[in-house]
Amino acid sequence: VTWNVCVWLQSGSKPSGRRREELLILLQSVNIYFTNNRLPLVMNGYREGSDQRDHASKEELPSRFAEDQFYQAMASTPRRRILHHLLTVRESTVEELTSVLSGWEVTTAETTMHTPEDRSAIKVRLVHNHLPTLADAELIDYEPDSGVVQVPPLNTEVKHLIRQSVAAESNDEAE
Amino acid sequence: MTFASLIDDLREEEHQIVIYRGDDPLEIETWLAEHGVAVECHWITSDGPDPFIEIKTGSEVIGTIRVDAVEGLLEPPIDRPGDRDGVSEGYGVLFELLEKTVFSGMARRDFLAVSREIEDRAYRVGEGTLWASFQTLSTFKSQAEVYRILCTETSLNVHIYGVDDWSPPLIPGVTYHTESATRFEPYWILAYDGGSDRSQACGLVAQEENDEYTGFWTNDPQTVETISNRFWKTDR
Repeated sequence: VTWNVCVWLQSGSKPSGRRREELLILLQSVNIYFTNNRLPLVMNGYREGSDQRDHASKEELPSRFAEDQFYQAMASTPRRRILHHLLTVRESTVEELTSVLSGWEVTTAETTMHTPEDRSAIKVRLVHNHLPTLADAELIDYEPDSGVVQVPPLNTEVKHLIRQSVAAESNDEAE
Repeated sequence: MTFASLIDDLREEEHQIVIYRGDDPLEIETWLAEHGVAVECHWITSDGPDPFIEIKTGSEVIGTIRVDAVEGLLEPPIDRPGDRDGVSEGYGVLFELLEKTVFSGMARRDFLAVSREIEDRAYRVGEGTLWASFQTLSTFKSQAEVYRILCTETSLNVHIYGVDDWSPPLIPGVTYHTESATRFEPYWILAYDGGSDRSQACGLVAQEENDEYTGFWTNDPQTVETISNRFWKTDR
């Protein structure tokens, strides 16, 4: 009797000789034997390369990618801009971040200038909303007393996402 | 208070310009530094926002503007009063934000744009008093037509001060003062009282030295009053 045996291996690489040997023994234990006692060389379902990459990045994926809080923190243009600026300067202050957000708005909006009133509105949102939200999501370290804001070491994928989200803003403008 | 002390006092006030930019210096930065205005640079990454400017008095930020809003300083718009089509809204912003900032080494053209802004405001309000010292009346020659329009289309009272070296045309609404003009001689001064609306008051004080001007403009009714008082006192 000839059986069609389909074996699925979940592996990051092409099964080595040793793994093939182990598999052969496993199959023999359930009375499945192969001609010449060898596993067929062509293994179904093995995709060279792509599987390897998928698997590798899965291991590197930050756990926060599965957290709602992360997306809540990222779901705001000013907050992504704050993170983007912090990635470059590492450490900043509430005053400087207010300036950066204000300047970012005047360079992208129709208005030519921001008044002191506009600035204080930005600062209020920064202190009472954006910074606490980012700190809760552990994307920044924020000391309300000193006004110092720092960025902790972030996963490469998170940094990549922050940079890409800001880069996409200027793409929108160009379109 | 003399005009010289007005300029000196303002020079002592901490008026600061902070430029946020990437690696490349901006043209305006060099211009401001050349005209005696303190400039501080803050580095931002080039893939972040476009360069922008913050204007501070002491530690308080009084305005944040795009760089193109101050480009009017590099190429001042020169227009007749009332003819605003060619003037960017940015120039008005500039006028407001950089008031009481002392600029030095200014060309005549630079302050001419400022005086246009003042004359234009007077034109728009359409009433009140405008004082102008032109050093010599012959300097007023090129402006006579502008003032004719200003006075025929409004009910402004205009007082022109200048040393008598040219016979100016008679324009209804314009009074010439030549006797008292000597005391204003090194200065180019303009003051508009805003008519019945003091918030529209504005002025310019610039001292000439070797074809270069050092001075400021202002929107502050109090400062404008100080300037115009000097004219009144001279008349009495």
